[in-house]
Amino acid sequence: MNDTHKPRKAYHALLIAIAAVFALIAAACGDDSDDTAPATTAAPETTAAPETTAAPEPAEEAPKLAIIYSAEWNDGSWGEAAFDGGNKLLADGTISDVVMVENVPPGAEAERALRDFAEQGYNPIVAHSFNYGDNVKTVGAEFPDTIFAYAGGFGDVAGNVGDYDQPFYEASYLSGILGAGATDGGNVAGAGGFEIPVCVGMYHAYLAGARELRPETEGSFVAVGDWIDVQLAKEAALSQADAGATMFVGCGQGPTFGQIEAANDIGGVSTGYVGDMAALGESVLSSFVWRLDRVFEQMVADVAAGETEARYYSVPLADGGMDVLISPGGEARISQEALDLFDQRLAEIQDGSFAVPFVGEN
Amino acid sequence: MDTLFSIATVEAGIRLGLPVALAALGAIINERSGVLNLGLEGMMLSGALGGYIVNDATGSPWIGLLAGLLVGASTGGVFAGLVVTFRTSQVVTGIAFTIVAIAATTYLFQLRWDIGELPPRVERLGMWPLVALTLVCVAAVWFLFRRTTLGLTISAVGESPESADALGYNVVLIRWMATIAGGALAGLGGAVLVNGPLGLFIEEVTAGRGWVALALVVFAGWRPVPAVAGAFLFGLCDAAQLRLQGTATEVPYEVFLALPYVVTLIALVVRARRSHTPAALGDPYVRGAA
Repeated sequence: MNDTHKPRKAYHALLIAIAAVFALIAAACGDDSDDTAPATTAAPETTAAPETTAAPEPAEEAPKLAIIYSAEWNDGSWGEAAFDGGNKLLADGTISDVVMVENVPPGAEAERALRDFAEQGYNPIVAHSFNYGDNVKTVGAEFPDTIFAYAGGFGDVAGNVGDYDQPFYEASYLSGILGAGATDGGNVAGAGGFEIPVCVGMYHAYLAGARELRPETEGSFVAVGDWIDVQLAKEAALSQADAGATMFVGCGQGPTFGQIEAANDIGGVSTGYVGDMAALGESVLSSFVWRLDRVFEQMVADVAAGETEARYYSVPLADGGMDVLISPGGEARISQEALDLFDQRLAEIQDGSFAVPFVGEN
Repeated sequence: MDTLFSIATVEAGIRLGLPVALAALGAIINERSGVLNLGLEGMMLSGALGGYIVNDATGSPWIGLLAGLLVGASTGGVFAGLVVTFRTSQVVTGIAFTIVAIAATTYLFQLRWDIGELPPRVERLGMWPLVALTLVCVAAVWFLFRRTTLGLTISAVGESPESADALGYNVVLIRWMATIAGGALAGLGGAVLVNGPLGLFIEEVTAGRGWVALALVVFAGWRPVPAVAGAFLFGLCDAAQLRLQGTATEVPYEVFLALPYVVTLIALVVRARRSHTPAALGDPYVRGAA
């Protein structure tokens, strides 16, 4: 019986280690204030089959695009935006081939995938999560003639490794105008997985948009501490509702789902993130769709022009980088004043006479 | 600050605590019989998906809960087959089980809906029926271990399987039953999350609640009532930290995020000093080997 002592101690050590890891993740992740990829953590499913589709008429010289992602394409949001973008370019004939692989965990596995695609002649190669940053830099150094880009979102460009912008705050400003036009009063609730510039920027822009109609509007931003914990995100939103919030704007899939659920429960208005989320409930007043095809197009055009230096690929709202969609039936709930202002600001953003202010810090 | 000390905070704490409480009760039954169940998170997740799919198909959250219970029980059966009958390492098997369950639930979930389709939201139960359900489960587990011969036998198997065997109890059978029952409660915990507060399923919806439940079991000294109290304490910490973030303070928000885990950590360190760990926890039983 003496040997039973050992596993018991090991068990305690293991549990303590797990609790410590959670505490560290919660405490430390916020420090990555440049983390702009609200991608969910990688599912440890590693054998996803590449989804290759042949182009209808393979253009002789058109580049071949490869995209890897840490979670599932089918998420109605972040993953789907990339999947749709890749397919659109293929359908347009802008690229001659696309290979898109989901469930690639950042780390050694991602490097193997990136290396493999570079060797097969795919160029550009997109790594669709902030967490691939180190991997693209490692593999990028081995293939200096191939352009790599990852979802850094803060202009992290060096040589052939680039980054692409996520100017979601612009769409969020317009959603704020609509939100204030569909509510009688109340505050703005913002939430993200962590307090990162993209998320905080979305919240401040939404608040500024709402203030155009109701200057007295206040708001709060909560970092849920996790990109996937919908229950915690929902409780965060409900706590903001207790403090008077009626307009909800989420950043990242889990936080957005939680905010939408809470808004459904209390009869507030919420906002779809990166994809059309109108189907998630009454409360979803508007959504914005991220047109990643426009972003990938910039990379493909560079490659087609023989460029080997990457850049900060950025397609703002004015250039069609996002579409703001009012949910079906939403227009009837929004005041005419708000709809007019929405149209006016959208036109001003498009012609360059109005710039949405970006506030990336809380 | 006045929003911090409110009924709403307590209710949020209860909602956050419910799934963890049920999973912790499941883990207690497992571990009192000597089976260390690190697959708890995976069992919760399996129950959550089962509960979601059945609720979606039948429109009844109660049938969804039943499905979660049954799916949890079957995952418990698979786990028992591996660690009790084939005597694989409980630590390695448990962790692998959770990894497989995360991948499998994600895969099965995605199979049902095409890209561009949003999975439907399902009917939800209010908080109080679920609180009642949880209290019934606590009472049942408490009664099992305090007032029944079966409970004593399970504990005997977890403390000294050789002695239990010598007294004529079937160690393998009892561990099988305990593992299935524990899995059922973990699955129910996952189903409660999906059919109660949420009404939807996403990839990894349980988000680490199973690991929290495992830690609580140690903190509670393998006793059901303190484990459930701990689950609600953890939920309350989370509810409080979310509200603290909403109030303007100079404290960095990361401190609030870490609060529930820090409390768990302290509790573990304090509790570990006088442990009531089942003596044979984690040891496969081989007749005549001791």
